[in-house]
This record gives sequence, structure tokens and C-alpha cells, in this order.
Amino acid sequence: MRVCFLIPSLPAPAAVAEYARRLDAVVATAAPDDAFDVAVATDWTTTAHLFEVRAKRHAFWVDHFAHRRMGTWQAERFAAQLAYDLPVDFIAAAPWVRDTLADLRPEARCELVTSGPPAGVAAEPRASSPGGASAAPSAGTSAARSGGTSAAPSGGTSAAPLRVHLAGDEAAAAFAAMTEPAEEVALERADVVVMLSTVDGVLGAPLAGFRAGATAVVGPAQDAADLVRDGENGFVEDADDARGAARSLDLLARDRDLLARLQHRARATADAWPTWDDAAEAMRAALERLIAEDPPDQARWPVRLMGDAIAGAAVFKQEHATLTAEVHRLHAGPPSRLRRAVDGLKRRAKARLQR
Amino acid sequence: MTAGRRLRVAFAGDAARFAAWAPGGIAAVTGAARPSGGTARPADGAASRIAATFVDTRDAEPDAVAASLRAVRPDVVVALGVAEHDAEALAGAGAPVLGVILPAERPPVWALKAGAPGERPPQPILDAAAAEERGRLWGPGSPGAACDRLVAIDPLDAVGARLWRTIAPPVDDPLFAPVGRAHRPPRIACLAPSTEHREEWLAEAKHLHDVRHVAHGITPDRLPGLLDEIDVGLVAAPTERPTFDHRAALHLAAGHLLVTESLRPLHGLEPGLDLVEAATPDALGRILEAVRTAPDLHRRTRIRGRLKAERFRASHVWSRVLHDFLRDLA
Repeated sequence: MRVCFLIPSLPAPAAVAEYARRLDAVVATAAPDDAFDVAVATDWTTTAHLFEVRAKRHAFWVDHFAHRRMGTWQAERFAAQLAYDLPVDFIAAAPWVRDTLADLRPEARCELVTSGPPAGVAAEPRASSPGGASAAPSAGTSAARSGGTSAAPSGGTSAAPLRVHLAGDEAAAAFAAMTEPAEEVALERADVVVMLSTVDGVLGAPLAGFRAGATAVVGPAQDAADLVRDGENGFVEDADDARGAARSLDLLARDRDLLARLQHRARATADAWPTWDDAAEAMRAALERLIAEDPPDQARWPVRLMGDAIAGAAVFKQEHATLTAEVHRLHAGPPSRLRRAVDGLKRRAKARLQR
Repeated sequence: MTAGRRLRVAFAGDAARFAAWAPGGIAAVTGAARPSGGTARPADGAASRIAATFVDTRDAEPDAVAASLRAVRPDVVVALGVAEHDAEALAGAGAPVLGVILPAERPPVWALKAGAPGERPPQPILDAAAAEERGRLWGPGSPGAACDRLVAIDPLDAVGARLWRTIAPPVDDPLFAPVGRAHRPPRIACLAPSTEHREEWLAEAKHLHDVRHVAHGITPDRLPGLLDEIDVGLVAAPTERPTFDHRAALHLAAGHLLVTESLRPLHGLEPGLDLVEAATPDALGRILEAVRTAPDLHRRTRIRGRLKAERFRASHVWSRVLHDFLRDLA
């Protein structure tokens, strides 16, 4: 089976490199001259070249939805949406991706191939004991904070501050709202990983944290349900609720028995996660299935693409109109100090030239 | 306290406004004719870890409400729209009370009368009304003070209160529906009381398009049928201050295209992907013109919005919040 993975630029993303190495696949930033059994786009931008590759099948490996990470003002946003309307087979990197594609593209084929764990953190049990007895304060690298209204611990003792790893911008607000003693540490030393994104990312740092022995407090990201079971191996918070996340962290700081139970189950979740060898075998089997059978007739044409293009353009036009109106409003208002200063400089320069 | 059985929860509030907030709330309050007084009916969410009962407080005497609440023998009472409750009725419920703070839809009558006919009251009068309202809600003997914890959908609604946390907007599970094909022409509706600000936002749309504005309240028995008829839901804040109107969650759960003013907070929703924002009356007119021309234009937005609305299932939201609430009290 000859496979070509298209990537936006070198070096290849870690997951693509893992697959390419095990499947002996070609990795390219543009369409190679060779012919392949299957060409796989790995990012929305690479779909621009996908159909230039001579291949029996054209597929799109999806581990996130790029437009979800873009603002309404970004013109690329609606172009990125259109990538998911192309007449391709899909390979979903996680169950939440498969479920989303099933709703958005019910006519297309979609194979689930769960990716292996994120790289960079060893899956080694740490010398950490419930109660924080082994938690040595880190020097220099951590931001420590202590609370003022500690309640009596309801579980194990909590002599040491809770060691918290903050992933993403939103996590800092929850950390700041804690009332129990806590310190910010690197992921491999953390008791708990906090990631409050509402988009995705739970299969990044929180999964790495699970492998390293931590539990997690996460936001209601789309991939949260693929990893965290609320109250069993971590906590899933509501969106825009930094107070709620802080209370979960306070609870973990007070109740070290609960922390240990969550960490134990988190570690079990991580242990059951597919390895990269498992994932590569699943990818091989999925690609062979896609090659063996023709795609369904309904999926041969970009049925929804133009409708989505028009809708996307309408939303962007709306955003543009709003921004333009705001600029006009600012121009129509009283001149700013900066504007007055610039006008003054112009007048003085003109007078000097005239002299 | 609740090991081995589901948590018994009494949701208390005006059924006309809040039945859609409780798991099984709509079915509970429409199961039979509503007798006067605080009346309790079972409202179990099928997949929930809680056994819910709805206590309708509309036109009910505080003693009757307290008696209805006690009769449920609840593990916890949820006071929906806590400002409209009676402090003694909540205190007499015999269970911990979680208060849900909501903004008033209109300023008090005395403040409205301070303005000239047809005109907005002066801002100092409106500010004074808001301050008086806060004093009434959070002062000693107030319904807010009778609650063990207070939550809100928008933290700014709770200025001056000791807010425990922000919760996702809960929507009764049976109101969730799949995204259907839009009618020709699309059916557009705004299901909110009329306020000066809302009327300004809707004015052009109402003039140019066939917009149905249900401004005088929707009884729970009519709500499911009404939601079935709609393709596009319009939601505006009652005043100029951006907020999160619960109706936004309701429309998304029902599979509608949601067109709103700016929502704050967003509760994880993404404008342009899950909903369409219209900051001005002009913008609303343009969006509706496009939808009228091609009713399924924003079908993907509807699908994505409906997927996000899963976070708002009442059975899910309340299970989490109430178990956390009791754990926090322990």
C-alpha cells in the first residue's frame, strides 16, 4: 500500500511522523510525481494540493476543526470550513471528531483511528504520594500562591500545596480564584492539569498529564468526553465558570484521598489509551478498507460546498460591516489626543516650511 | 445522604417562565390543570441522577409554597429566579436552597413612570432602580439571603451578591430536537417580552420580514409546539447591556438557527459557527434577507449549534451542579 501524507510545512507534525514511519509512507508539502493508493491531507491548507496527487483514494485525516480556532474576523475561517465539505473519505483521530463529522457529513465515509498519546511526557509513575508529602517546593520555575480561607481537610491531610499545571490562557483565572494553597509547576510534576478551553485540546496536555500520574480539571471542550469522566478520573467544568474550576481545585487540595482516587483512575485511562503502534496498525487497516471499496455515490460530489461558501461569506461580510461601522463611529467622534497631537505637528511643520 | 438513590430536587419558580429549565419540567406542569397555590408535580429527567419535582409558585401564597416544598421532602431546593421568591417560603422548605439569579426583564414600574410617555426614563432613575433592586435581593431577610448558595448564568446579573458559580443554561431534555429542513418561507420568531431595546433591534426586521414576536409570555403547554414551528430564533438582550438570554440555549436545543445580539458570556458558543450575530438592526435585516432567499443557507450553523447545545441538557447540568452544591455544603 503506497500512502502519501500531505503536510503544510516541514517538519511534519508529530502524529503524522509517527504514522509515516510505521507505514513507510511518503510525507510531502506538495503533490509528488509518483502515483499512490491513497493520498491523505493532514491539515485544511493541504487540501489545496490533495487532488493534484495521483491516487486511487483521497482522504482527510482530521484531529481538530481548524475554523474553531479562528476568530470571526479571520477570512481564512470560512475557507477552513469548506475543507470539510470536499468529496473525500475522512479519518477521525478521536471519537468526538468522528461524531461531529457524522452530523456534518453523514454521506461520507469516516474511519476512526484514535491517535497515540502526545509526545514529550514519559509514562512513568512519579514518586508522589497523596497528601503531598513528597512535593518539594520548586525554586524559580513555579508561581506559588497561598489561600486565606482554608477549610479543614475532608480527606487525607494536605500539608503541601496542590501542584497545578496550567494549560491554556483560561486556566490562570481559576488558579487565581483558588483559596487553598497551590503552586504552579511543570506538567511532569503536577498533581492536576487545568485546561479550560471550550474548543479542544483535552487530548493534549491533560492526556499527557494522565500518563504522568496527574488528574485534570477541564472545560467543556469537544474532546473532553473522550478522556475525562466527571468525578471519576477528573472534573469537567462549565464554560465561563472559573469559580467552579477553582472550587474543584480547592476540593482536590483539601481532600488528598479524592485526589489519589482520581489520579489512580486517570492513570488507568492513560494505560488503556492506544500506543502509536496500535494506532498505526489501525491506520493501516482503515486505509486498506477505504482502498478496497468505492466511496458511496452521494459522497462523490461537493454537495454542500457552495452553500457553505455563501453562508460563510455572509457571516464574514457581517463582521466586516460591523467593524466598518465601528471605525466610522470612532472617526465621527471627538478627535483623540493622538489625532490632535498629529494635527499640531503637521501645522508646525507646515509653518516652518513656509518660513 | 443520597447513596443508592437519586437526589430528590424541588425546582421552584413561575412555571410559565421556568418550566423549560428543569428536567421534565414542561411535562410536569402540563400534565394536569394547574390548581391555585404552590403545586408540586414529579418532573423526572429520564437519564438523570436526580428525581425532580416542579413547584409552581405563580400566584401562590408563601405558606402554600413552603408546604408544597416540604411535601416533596427534597434533598435540595432550586429557587429559579430567586428575586421573585419569598424568603420565608424558602427558609421553610426544610432543605438546602440553591438560588438562581436572573436579570429583571424590565425596570420597576415606578422607574418606568419617571420617564415621559413613550420615552426612556433618565439614566440616574434607572441606576437608582437597579441599586434598590440589589438591596432588596441581597439584604437581610431577602430571598437571596435565604439561599445557601447563589448561581447565575451571567455573573454580571449577580453584582452585589455573593455568587457561588456560573452555570450553563439548562434546557428541559424533551425540548431537544434534531435539525430539520427549514420551511419555505422560513419561520422566524422572537419569543421574548417586549422592551424598548428589543423593539429597536427588531424594528427593521419586523418591517421587512415576517417576524413573529411572541411578547406576552408562552405557557408551558404551548412551548413545545411553538418550538416545532420555528426555523430561526431571534434573541436580544432586554437592555443595552449584553447578557446571555436563556432563550438562546432554548433555540439551539430545538435545532433552530440562532440569530442574536452579542452574547456575554458565550457559554462556549462560537459566533459565526454555532450562531449568527447581528450587532445592529441593519445587520439583522441583512441576515434575515439572506435566510429568506435561501432558508437552508446556515444549515451547518444549525447543526453545530445543536451539537453544542448538548452541554445545556437540564438533566446533565443540574446533576453536576447539585451534587457539587451538596458536596460544597458538607
